Amino acid sequence: MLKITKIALSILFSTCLFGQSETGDVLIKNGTLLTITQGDKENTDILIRNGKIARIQKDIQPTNDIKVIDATGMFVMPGIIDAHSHIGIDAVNEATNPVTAEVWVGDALDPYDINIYRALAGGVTISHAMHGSANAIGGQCETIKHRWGVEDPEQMRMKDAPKTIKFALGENPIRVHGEGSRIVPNTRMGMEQVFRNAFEDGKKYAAEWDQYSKGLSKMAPEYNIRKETLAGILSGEIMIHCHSYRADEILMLMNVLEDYGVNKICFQHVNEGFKVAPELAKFGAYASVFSDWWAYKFEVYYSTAYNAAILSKNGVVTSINSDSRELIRHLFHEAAKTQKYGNLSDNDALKLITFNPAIQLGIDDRVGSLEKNKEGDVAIFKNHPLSIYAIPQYTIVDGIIRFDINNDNADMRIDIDPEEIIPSFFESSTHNHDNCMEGVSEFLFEHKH
Amino acid sequence: MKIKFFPIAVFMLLIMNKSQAQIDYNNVPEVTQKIFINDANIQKNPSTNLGIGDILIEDGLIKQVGVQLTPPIDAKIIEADSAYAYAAFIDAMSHIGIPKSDEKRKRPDVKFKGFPPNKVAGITPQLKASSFIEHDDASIKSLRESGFAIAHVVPRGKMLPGQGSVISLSGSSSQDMIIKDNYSMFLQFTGASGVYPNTIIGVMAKWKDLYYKAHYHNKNLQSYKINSSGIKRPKEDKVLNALIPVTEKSMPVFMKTNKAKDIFRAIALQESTGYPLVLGDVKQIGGAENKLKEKNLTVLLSVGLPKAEKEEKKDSTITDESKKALMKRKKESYTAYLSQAAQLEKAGIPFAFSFLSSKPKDLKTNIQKLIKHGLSTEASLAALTTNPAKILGIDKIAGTIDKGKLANIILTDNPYFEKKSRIKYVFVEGQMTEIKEVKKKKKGGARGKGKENLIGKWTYSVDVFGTQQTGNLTISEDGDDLKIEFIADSNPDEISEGRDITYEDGNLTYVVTVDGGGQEMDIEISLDFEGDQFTGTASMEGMESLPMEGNKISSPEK
Amino acid sequence: MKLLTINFILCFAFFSISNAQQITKATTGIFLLKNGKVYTHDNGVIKADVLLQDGEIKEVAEMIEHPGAKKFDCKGMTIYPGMIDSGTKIGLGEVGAVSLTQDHNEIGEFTPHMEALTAVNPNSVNIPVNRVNGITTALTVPSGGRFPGTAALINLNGYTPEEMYANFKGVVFNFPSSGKRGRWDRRSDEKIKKDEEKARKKINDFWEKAKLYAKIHSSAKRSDLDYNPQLHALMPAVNKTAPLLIEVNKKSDILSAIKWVNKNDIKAIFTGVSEGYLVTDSLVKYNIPIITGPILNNPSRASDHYNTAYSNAGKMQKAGLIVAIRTNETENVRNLPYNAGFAAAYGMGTEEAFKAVTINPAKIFGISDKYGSIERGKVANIFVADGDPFETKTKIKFLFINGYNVPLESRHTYLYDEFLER
Repeated sequence: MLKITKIALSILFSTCLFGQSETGDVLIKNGTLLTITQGDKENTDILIRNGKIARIQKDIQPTNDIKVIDATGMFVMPGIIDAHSHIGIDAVNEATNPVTAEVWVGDALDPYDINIYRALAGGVTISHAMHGSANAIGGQCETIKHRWGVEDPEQMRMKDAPKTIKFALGENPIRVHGEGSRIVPNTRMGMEQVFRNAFEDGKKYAAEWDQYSKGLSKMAPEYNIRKETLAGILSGEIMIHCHSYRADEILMLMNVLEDYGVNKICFQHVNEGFKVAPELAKFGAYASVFSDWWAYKFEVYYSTAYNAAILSKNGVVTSINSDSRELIRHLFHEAAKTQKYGNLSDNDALKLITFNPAIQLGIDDRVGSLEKNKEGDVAIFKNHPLSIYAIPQYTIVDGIIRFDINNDNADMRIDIDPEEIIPSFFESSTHNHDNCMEGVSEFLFEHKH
Repeated sequence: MKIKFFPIAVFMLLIMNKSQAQIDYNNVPEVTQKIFINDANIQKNPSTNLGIGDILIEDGLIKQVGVQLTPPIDAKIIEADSAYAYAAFIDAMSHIGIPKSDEKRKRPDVKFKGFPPNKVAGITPQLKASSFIEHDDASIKSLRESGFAIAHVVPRGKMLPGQGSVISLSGSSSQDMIIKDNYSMFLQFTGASGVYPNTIIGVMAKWKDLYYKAHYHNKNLQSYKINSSGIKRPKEDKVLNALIPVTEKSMPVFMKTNKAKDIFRAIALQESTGYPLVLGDVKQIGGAENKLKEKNLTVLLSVGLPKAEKEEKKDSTITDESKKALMKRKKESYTAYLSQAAQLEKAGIPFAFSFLSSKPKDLKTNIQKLIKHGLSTEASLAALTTNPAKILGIDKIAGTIDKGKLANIILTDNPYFEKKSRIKYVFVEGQMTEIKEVKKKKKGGARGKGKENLIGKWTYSVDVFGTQQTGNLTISEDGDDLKIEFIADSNPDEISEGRDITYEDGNLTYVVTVDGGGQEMDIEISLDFEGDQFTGTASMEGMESLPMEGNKISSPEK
Repeated sequence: MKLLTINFILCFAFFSISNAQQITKATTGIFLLKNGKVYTHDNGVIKADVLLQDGEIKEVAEMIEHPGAKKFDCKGMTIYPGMIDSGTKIGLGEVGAVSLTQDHNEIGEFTPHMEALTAVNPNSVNIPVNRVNGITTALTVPSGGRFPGTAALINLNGYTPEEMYANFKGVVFNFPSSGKRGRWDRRSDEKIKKDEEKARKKINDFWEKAKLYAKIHSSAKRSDLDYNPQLHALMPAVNKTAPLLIEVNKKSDILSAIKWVNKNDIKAIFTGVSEGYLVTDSLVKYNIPIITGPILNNPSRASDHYNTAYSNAGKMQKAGLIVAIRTNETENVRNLPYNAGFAAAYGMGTEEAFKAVTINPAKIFGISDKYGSIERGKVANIFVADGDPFETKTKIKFLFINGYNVPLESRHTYLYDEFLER
């Protein structure tokens, strides 16, 4: 029996080498399971085999070789998912043009970013590494799994997760391009035309290639990776995640999308989403919001921390995101704030950081709840995760324990500078609310008025 | 890789014609083109040692290699006296011979930053390295004197600076030097400043765009050739035309990939299209080793190594225990960097050396460090000769001491990889350079080139376009290292400190950062000390070097 | 109520940002908090009623009766002293990215005479949004140069800065740092060191001048002294009649700051102190009070333990230091209880963490006779909650600041009321 498992394991590992990422087995015993989709289950075990949830029931007997976690008195929930972050990538903004649909942060993944480990230490197993908000149509994003320890960026990707792209409305693209470079868009009117123009390009391009592939034209149209991507958005192959704040601009984009037959979008930040919650619900748009950030710029001055609650209660699939390498470490606490601001139930609050972001990233059939056959991404807490006293104990990705509070060496870096002994001390600034604008300072304010 | 090289004979003829064209009584021409190296210990190739033997060079080629050959009467005889003969080295990738650009680093004035002219965007694949090479650039001489006969030169620039040329390190013009022009395409993850593509993600997207643009462009050109009637003429495009050989997989792409991350990225970029790829200037392989092996890729290791372990900075910021742990990790990392070459050897991944960001004169000391960390001398020699020859597709003409190959040979007084060895002669296509021995000075000796001689206070003056700027220089010892402080007379309150200090045989180099009107600028200073005097230069990127000289005022009291 | 809100919103949207304090008026009078339990720092929770009158806590006792008092039924609830945030920019900034609404950063390196209190906007929309979480008092701190100005402690209710003033001011001193300012800071270690030394020399000169100024000022030669506002503002600190708030974070900088404080014989409060946990011995030896935070913060070094910032406050407190907690926030000072809560969870414990946002800052600021606990004679800064104030689920039921009953309303609650069902 043991022999067979060993052989099975070695086969498993040999496949790992070629493309597949590593998976593991673990049995978590006697925890209080917060399944999200199937209610809470006390004193229940959960068995992960080959990286997938194999069984959820009481009293599962461990086989000889399996790693067992005693979760007695602890809370076991699905790994937390952050629908908006910028960790694990080396470039955030290609801020040189209002439309840069072709760039892809997935090209520059950084497996050595210590913030991945710190996110794991906050129970986060998946994050949506996004392009920044400098451009109306920014770059494509990447859904990554926090497999801390791997060095090949390919192993960070959540394989087959749907493609997504970052859009941005309002002040940021206007500051960069209108105020910064004196080109369109300089207003929210101009923003609309940038999208319409880009979609026209994509439409025309797709038609040209269609002609060519049918043999109706002899010469290949000029290849253009940007237009190719825009065509991919129109065909529904790439889903839009749009940085947005004000109600009017949210409505604008939904109108434009309707004109071009695009029916899927997740609005990001969407601080004034609460003002147009019925319209968002009707369109079927998703909303991924901050728990309580506001007033850091004018377009978020008329905000409310009750945004998530209003959106949820109006039937909008809502998540709470971090957009911050600090907040990502305690999204469970950010979700808890919806109980302060809007009285969400425990399950609804936890949904905001598990199942709902999974829906928004198109991965809800694989992660986001504790269910049989889903991927083995689990966070285990001492104290209820919505309590201020919650402390993550283990974070498991694909059945592999990637964070274990009892096995944490303080210095968890992988890539060590061969010349520097003591890593630099960074003075902390107060919260940087513009993580989305990373790398664009040089493009701002070249022309002052 | 397809090989297109000049017929050697034509090439040699060109050289000779030229030397006969002009009457020049300042020089006396060589009497003969035949050279006979007598009694050398011949290392034919990394794995074969011939023992004591002779080599006959004729018309720049190796005519004969063997034991106890008879020298022709019309040959010049070099008595090797059991010196060690190796095939001269081949630099697999560098900017040798291309001076740094004089263009000032200023923000280009581009109205639409998203659509800059190709030149501003750093996209000039149509340019050839050979057109930038200055045959009398000091770097060529310096590389040759380090034992090299051939270099693969790539242009300087941003994302796609142009095509690499394989050159011979001899010749009286850059045309003469070319062995293979447009041999490779040089690609870097370096964004343009202030315009598209500005970031690494912009560069990577742009590369994919250009690649497929060129691919379809080529397709259209081909079909137009077959049938052009009634079809819109495809427009000529210098950039795309230059990339066509890459899309046809007949031109290798050489990339600068310093870090493991860069290696992974370069591979991911290449994976779907499959053009031949060489990973250049690699400083860190890290976790990428398996991938390299799996993909059967070629690696050019940077000769630059991390700085040796120094005592930790005087920063008492961390408790002793954790400091110890941090030091341990740092040390492990340092060791891992130095063991990379040995690991590649063990894994059977072929590699050579490149000099994009390091100096040829560091070569031997650094290879010795690699050998200390497990690299064999055989693999070291292969990395300098046969491997680069293969990578550059010139293994039929270079890389070993064999009959018919170019007469690229070095003679050393001791086995090359031994510490005390010295290169005595370098032959590049039969042209001989004798390397004069730099006499080792006794420490604090009469000639005054020992490190001790430097310690003390010096005056300096720099000639800044006609005006003399003066000041003081204080050199002191800081453990095993030197510490350099200097004070300009014009600004006596500000003490500047030199960094990246090197000292060898009377030559002191360091870098100092100065405030140039709100912008920090690095000045590289190189000084040659002779007794109580020094002369040298101060140079800055984008400016001509300024002459500098100085005298000693005082030594520390003993 | 809903209609009223809409009116307010409309006013707001169409007219101006700052003219409307758009929430229901706070009222004053005699208030009696009945049937609740009172939180005390050292005797746990006791059953008692609390009487507020004339802006003060008049009485804390069982079964208080007062015929003229407005009663607040606190059954099942706990009465807590208002929380104090020991470092914020509240009132000094309205909209982060709109620089003209930012009044905390004056031009110049040596501007200790810039008074935060002068620029506090009592009608800032931020104030109601934040106080409804039980934060009644905050130190509002200028930022920028080496000596950016004088911080002021304010109560988060009132029509004028003077009304809000809570009897503590302190000059802020940003101690020269040998750390990097951010990820974009590409200075070499040597350059950082040089900059730091240069800065150190400059402040020493400044301090010498301040000492001389203060000496002459207190002598017979006073009339000959030219008034210098920069040096004048330092006199209380030089004369040790007021503490200096020294912002210092990196270990080696903290040690340098301790030396500097001793050399110059200064009454100091250290703020920030992110690596304080590494030098507790020295801090304890010189008995330096600490204001630390934000607790919800990233570690300062890549090699640091992920919970470094969570656990720092607790480690310092356990070593015997008096520790207060700050958010360093402007518009989200309301997260003070959560910062304290994380400190509590990561080693400090709930009781000590609650002290760090109530009685400890009161002690550090020298106003513990009036603030920081529910005791007779103290300022009536109180909130009543249905549970542990650090827990996010907990709801604040009543709020009193400076004796005023403050409505639990803000822009955020109004927007909720209006838009929940549109």
